[in-house]
Amino acid sequence: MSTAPRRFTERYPEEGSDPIPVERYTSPDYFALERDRVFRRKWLNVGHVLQAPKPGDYFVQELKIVDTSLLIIHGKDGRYRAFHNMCSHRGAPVAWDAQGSCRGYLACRFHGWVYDTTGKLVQISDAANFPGVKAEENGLTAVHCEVWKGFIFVNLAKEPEESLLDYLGPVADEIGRFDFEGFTPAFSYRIDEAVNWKTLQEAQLEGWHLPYLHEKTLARAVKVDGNQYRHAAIELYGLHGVLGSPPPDSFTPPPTALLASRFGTGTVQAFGTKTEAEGDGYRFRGSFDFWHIFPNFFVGLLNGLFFTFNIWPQAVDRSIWEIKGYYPPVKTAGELFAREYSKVGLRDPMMEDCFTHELICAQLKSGAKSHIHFQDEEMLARHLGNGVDRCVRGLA
Amino acid sequence: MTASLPRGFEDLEPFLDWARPTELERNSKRWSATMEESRAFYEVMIERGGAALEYLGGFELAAIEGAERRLLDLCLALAECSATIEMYEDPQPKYVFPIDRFVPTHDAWPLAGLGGRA
Repeated sequence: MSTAPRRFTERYPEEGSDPIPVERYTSPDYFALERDRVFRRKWLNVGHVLQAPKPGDYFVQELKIVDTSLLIIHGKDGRYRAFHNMCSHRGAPVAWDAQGSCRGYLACRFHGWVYDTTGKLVQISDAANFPGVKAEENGLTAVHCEVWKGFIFVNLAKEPEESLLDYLGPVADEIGRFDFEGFTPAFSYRIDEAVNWKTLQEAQLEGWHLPYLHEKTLARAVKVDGNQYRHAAIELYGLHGVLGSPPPDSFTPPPTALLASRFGTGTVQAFGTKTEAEGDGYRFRGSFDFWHIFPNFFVGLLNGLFFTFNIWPQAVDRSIWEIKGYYPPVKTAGELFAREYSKVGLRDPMMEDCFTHELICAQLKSGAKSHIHFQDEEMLARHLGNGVDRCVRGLA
Repeated sequence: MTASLPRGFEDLEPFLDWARPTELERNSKRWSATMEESRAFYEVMIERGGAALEYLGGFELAAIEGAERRLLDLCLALAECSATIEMYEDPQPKYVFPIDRFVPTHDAWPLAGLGGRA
């Protein structure tokens, strides 16, 4: 049984089918436009509430592309807020650690100016020597911050063009059916790579490479249709989109998977079967659904776990990939082992992806080719570049 | 002098070098082992892993230390080694990014993950 070709191109003709200019990946000028017309305007995910679970907890997120570092604080009033991590006195960072906890106040380590968790400047050290400085005019500089389903988003525009919910549109309803309660941060990877941010993301936006690049790893956990991978679904929602990965017709778990499944659930089983929605629950397109939230955020949904990617452009040819996994809390050694096995099964294919990133980036610079190509099964990868280009040209 | 492994698991003593407390170290061990060493470790752990995890199930995860912790780390090393045996058939697959650049920042977290302590 073979899938008809060009099914997504026919459903989404507006995405086109032309070759893609290499310049989009290599040009510093294009990168500067992406910075101003995408990253300074769109809602960006900076993490999850579980990174600062208690009031007074905070974490810092570097946003090098817009030359700042953000301080995200869980306020004593329960609200999450984001600020530029910068003391009003002389510009030193207020928080010096990647994450921490305070009792309601953060003091700058340079000269001791004190801020509360709402960003208000509550104490100027040696205040009598700052006669013209008004505390009420010198709080931390706030950045628009909204939380949705536990995911913390910021917007660097003076006034966001739309609310976070409007920005997410139908995606909020679709992903929102997934029950995000009861998970705990289980793993976190950080990879600093010499690659354009879109090249990095494009490998995650199509499963068609699975039987090739992941021949020894993931390929056995997905359906291959006449030697080719065919997505169970690709759906576009404005600038965002989702792909569903089809479970294999039959799957024989290897011995370690069987051992793991005696004690807990593992990714291999999750990949191998498709979960049917119950009632208002999340509607899986495949055994594994991967959501792309424009421009640089991904949520992967599986049965019993979810994981996220944040891709942070540093330069036209450098990006940081943050990978975070969330599982139900583990209480026993057996559950920990099952989770470890699951994690390694997810990690190794991503290490295979990484191997290609820098090689592609280096070679695209050669100028040997002016264009690259995307086929029908790579619709979601094409869609990313189209979305970025529409922003760059002032159309989105 | 405490035993290096809990009583009843002395047969795993020859494999103690696999018992490493972080993912970075377990992955490094996986990559530095020969195929023969990997196969020997894999086979014994597939056979004994169930008993080890059942035994460890009697302990509070956050309180596991010493001999029990080494036994747990052996089990966790099986997760790494299984990739050598069941997937790549090679301890050093050629086209994979190295773990020292694919940094597991969770190695600094508590064993069960953040908020994992019930």
